Amino acid sequence: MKNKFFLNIIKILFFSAIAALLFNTFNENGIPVLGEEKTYPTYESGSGSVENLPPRQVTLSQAFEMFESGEATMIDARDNWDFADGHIANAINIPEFSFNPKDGKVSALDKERTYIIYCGSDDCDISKRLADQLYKLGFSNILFFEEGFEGWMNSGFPIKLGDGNVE
Amino acid sequence: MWNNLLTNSNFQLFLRIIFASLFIFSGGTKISVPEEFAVSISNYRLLPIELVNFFAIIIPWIEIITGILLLFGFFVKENSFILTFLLGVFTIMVFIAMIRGLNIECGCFGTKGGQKVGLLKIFENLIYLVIGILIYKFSKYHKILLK
Repeated sequence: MKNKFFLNIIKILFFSAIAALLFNTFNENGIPVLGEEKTYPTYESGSGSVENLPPRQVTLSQAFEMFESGEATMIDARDNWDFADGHIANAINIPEFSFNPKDGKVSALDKERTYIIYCGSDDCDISKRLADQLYKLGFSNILFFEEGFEGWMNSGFPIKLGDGNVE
Repeated sequence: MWNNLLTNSNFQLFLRIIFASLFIFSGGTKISVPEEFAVSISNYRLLPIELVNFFAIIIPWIEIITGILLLFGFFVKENSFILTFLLGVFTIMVFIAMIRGLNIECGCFGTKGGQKVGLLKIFENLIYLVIGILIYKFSKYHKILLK
């Protein structure tokens, strides 16, 4: 009885999966069965903010240049306690985990301005996720850099160390 | 007396209609837009990116096929087991998302007008879990129970 029970379950699941995969093949909204990491274009200086471009990747030195010239504002996508430990000088903290478009911090941003988003280090992806979210809200100049706060700090670029107290 | 009620075939049919229609509806809203559902799943950040699409493709079909079979009384124990298990997994996912403080849509019934993850969703799921367990436990082992 028990064996038959699980055998039936396997049959039902197998049949459903076959039907699903067949349908997906012929569905015009079908998606690839194996997901892939999303890729982003790289930033070319001078491409301007005229068009509504998807998030682009900048190098650490490009990010620093734009930071120093005041051309871009940095956005820290990490949690507020990470931010409170230390962050890029003058960065705004918008934790991606609890991202809410109606939040005051988000609505205070200027959609035309250039923002550079970062997170912890090169193995986090919340900067990209936040970039996608802001792009969806109509921000036209969203950039991010892969190296994150760790890479920034290791290059000796200006940071602000905090006392760890969450505001 | 409880046992009589719970094993009563009309009462079981009633439970199956509620339980199965939940999944048929939920699968139906997701079946033709796997991409949106894939985004919902990836928002939970529990599955590696390679597996997200696969589950986004097959879960709506499992929900619909098992739901229909259950509704019409085919393999009631098996199908109620599958759906209760699935619902249990969903509930745990919502719970994990909640304690991690994720501000996301649950993606339970497609992405439009969706509910946010939270206690209300978990409470709702627990009620359905009880219904699923009642069907699994008290339905008679027949292939066809629609009568």
